[in-house]
Amino acid sequence: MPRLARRTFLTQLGAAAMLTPLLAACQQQAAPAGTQPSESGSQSAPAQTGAGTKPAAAPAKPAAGGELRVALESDVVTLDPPMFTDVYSNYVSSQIHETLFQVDHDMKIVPMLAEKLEQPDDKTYVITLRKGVKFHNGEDLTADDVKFTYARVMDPATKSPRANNLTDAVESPDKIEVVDPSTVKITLKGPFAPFHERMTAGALQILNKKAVEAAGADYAHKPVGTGPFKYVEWKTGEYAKLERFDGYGGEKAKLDRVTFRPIPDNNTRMAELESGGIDFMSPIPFEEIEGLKKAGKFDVQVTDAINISYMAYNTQKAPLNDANLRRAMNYAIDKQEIVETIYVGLGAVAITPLNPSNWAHNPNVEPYKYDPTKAKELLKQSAYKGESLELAFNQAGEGPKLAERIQAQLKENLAINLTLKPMEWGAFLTYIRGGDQHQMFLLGWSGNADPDSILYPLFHSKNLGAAGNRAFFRNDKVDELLLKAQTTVKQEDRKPLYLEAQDIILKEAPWATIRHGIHSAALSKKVQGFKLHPLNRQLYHNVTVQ
Amino acid sequence: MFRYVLAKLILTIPLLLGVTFALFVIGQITPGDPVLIMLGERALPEEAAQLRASLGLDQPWYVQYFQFVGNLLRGDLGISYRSKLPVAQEVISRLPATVELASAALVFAVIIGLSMGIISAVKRNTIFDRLAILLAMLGASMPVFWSGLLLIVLFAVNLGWLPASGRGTPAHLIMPAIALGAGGAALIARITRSSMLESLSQDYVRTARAKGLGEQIVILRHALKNALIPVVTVVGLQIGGLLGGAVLTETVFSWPGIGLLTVQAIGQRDFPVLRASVLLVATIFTLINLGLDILFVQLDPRIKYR
Repeated sequence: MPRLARRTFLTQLGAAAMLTPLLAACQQQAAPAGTQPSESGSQSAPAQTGAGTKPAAAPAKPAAGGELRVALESDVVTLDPPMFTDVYSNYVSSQIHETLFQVDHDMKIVPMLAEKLEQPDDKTYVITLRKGVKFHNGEDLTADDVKFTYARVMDPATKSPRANNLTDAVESPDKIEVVDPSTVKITLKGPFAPFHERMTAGALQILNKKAVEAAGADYAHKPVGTGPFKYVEWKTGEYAKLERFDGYGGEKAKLDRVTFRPIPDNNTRMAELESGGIDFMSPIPFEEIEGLKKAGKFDVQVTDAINISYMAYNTQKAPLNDANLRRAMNYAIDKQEIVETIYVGLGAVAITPLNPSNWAHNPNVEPYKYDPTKAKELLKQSAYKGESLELAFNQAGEGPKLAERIQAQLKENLAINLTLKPMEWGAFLTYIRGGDQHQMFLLGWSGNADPDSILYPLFHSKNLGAAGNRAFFRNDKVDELLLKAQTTVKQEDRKPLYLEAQDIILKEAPWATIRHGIHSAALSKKVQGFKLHPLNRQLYHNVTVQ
Repeated sequence: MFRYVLAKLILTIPLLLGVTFALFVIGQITPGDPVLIMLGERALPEEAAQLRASLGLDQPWYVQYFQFVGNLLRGDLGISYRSKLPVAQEVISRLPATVELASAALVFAVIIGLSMGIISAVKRNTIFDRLAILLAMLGASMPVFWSGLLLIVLFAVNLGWLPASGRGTPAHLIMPAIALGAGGAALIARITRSSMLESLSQDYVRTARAKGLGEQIVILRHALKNALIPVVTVVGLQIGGLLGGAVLTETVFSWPGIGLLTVQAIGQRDFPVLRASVLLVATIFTLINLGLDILFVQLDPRIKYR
């Protein structure tokens, strides 16, 4: 190889250094021209199971609605519905795809792609589809698509992490029958009350058979649904862009475009909102809610969430296998103070695991009201000998503050020494799965409209460990009640079963229920027509941006 | 030289294998189960077992390692645990963003660092020199998640001149490049200053001045050129630092590069993505080092290939 003269080489090096930024800049500008709208932005709204809009009798003329830019806390994982388990993928996917049913703002299950549901008997669901619904590729929605979608979720080859939405209740895909092009009949293994709500799950968003087969493994980048917005482009880590679907079966969306952008850093997300780089973020970092409200520059929305944050005791492990010790600690924790100080008054003290708004909530249980005297008495009745206890929690978010507060209260009221164990999320989940390592821990749970989605996974002994019941709570009566409530179809018959189960759960105290949380969203004042949903479904149907 | 490069290239293979092996071992030691993280609060035993088997996580780790190496040799980096999408495509699609950011940061660091270093040396012990040293210390000691945030607050929120985050236009590149390059600029400035001070006191500089050359020519042609070798070394080392520093910078500025991808993959224990990202960065780093070795020979004829 000929040796370059040193001088020439250095000159070239300098030139290369000078050119690099220019080249980079050119590449940058070339790309946005085609693909990037004038502003970048992102918006985020969590929707677990189905977001969409009600069909309207007459399709209204879409008003020019601009672009909504939504910030996501983390990137979309995939846009293939059975494959995601995170809320942010569903923020986007639920704009593109729709489910047969959806949960409305009043937590009622209402039809979406379905027109009506008939139940000739407790285990048979006959679903009639809405007429005139089109997929983004122009295909009509048919019963074949529904059968195809559900069978695909159930197929072990799909490897859906959310297959249990169907497999819990349906024996095999053969039990999903196409009666005629607009009617599907699903026969369950037995009566299973939560099934109606299962059909609102994000994993069960209805896909177009043809589109899925055509896209193959690449469906995540070629999604085709019936939703109010159709897919334009998803560039991982950068944005997901959607535009209005003008062939929408119901009332068309008003927005022209929706752009989602992952902005993982809380401070940066706030800065984007402040500087007008995004129009919408949900949730708002906790410590920012009050400030944003006071500043008055944004529309700050807060609504009660269907969730529960709790401290669980490992009920199988001494000394926490002693109910009196658990009850004592429950009385020693001042939940009101916790909600007011740590959560700046947002949300509500939790009395039972179910939100007061839930139809199965038991308002007549004996609540654990803050009572240090009673706590001390109960502690005396327990076998507790003064050993220190350990509280594990996720080090991110509110966990550390909550843990420190509980530590102080237990020390002050019961002289119990609590060792705090902050952990990284992944390590934490592993730590609390087995039951042989952990003593106490802090965790939350997001439920749906059906009380089964909360009580069954968290307190039935079939779900010990990672399946939800990490308190390792075993109670035959509760098991029986929860199973019976699951297989009883009428709400009025289920209610007494849930009331009794809550009664026992509170007496046995596998948990200290702490707080029912909130959903929050901050919107630029330019954004009109958005209302937070109790399950944080992202419904942009009526949204406009000036 | 061809043999030298070839030998070096062959040596990178065991090096990269070592990197992947270390990643596997670290993955084993680190608590956290990708399956549990994916399924979250509700991980049903049957589903967890099925998922674990389908990801090959039910195999002993050394079996997984040999499978990984076998697939790697066939050019297959695997499928992301989380998205089930091919990893290679994902990682490679993120590379341009990181390269763009790192190059812009490097250019910033070199331009600012060199000019501050030269002026400091020439105006030694003046106010300017002191100020430059102070700035260099600040630049070197401020972590990017702090300096980055300050930049965002000033230029995006208060002044509204630049977009706060993301990628797309040259304007998007300015703040991340400054935040990422500041540390390097500081280092380069300090090295340039001391190296310049040394060469300014050399005989050949006095000779040049005695010949009656203009001060500018003396400084740039005679002093600077001879002061450059340590500077180039530092710049070379910076490149690795920039790729590493991109992890934080990309997170702060939502810059869709390899760093952001790596951080997410760590949180999710998405080992195939993590392995591919680290492997790619390690490869680039190795190649850059090789390039530097060659560069040194070009810069200093006294260095020989061995």
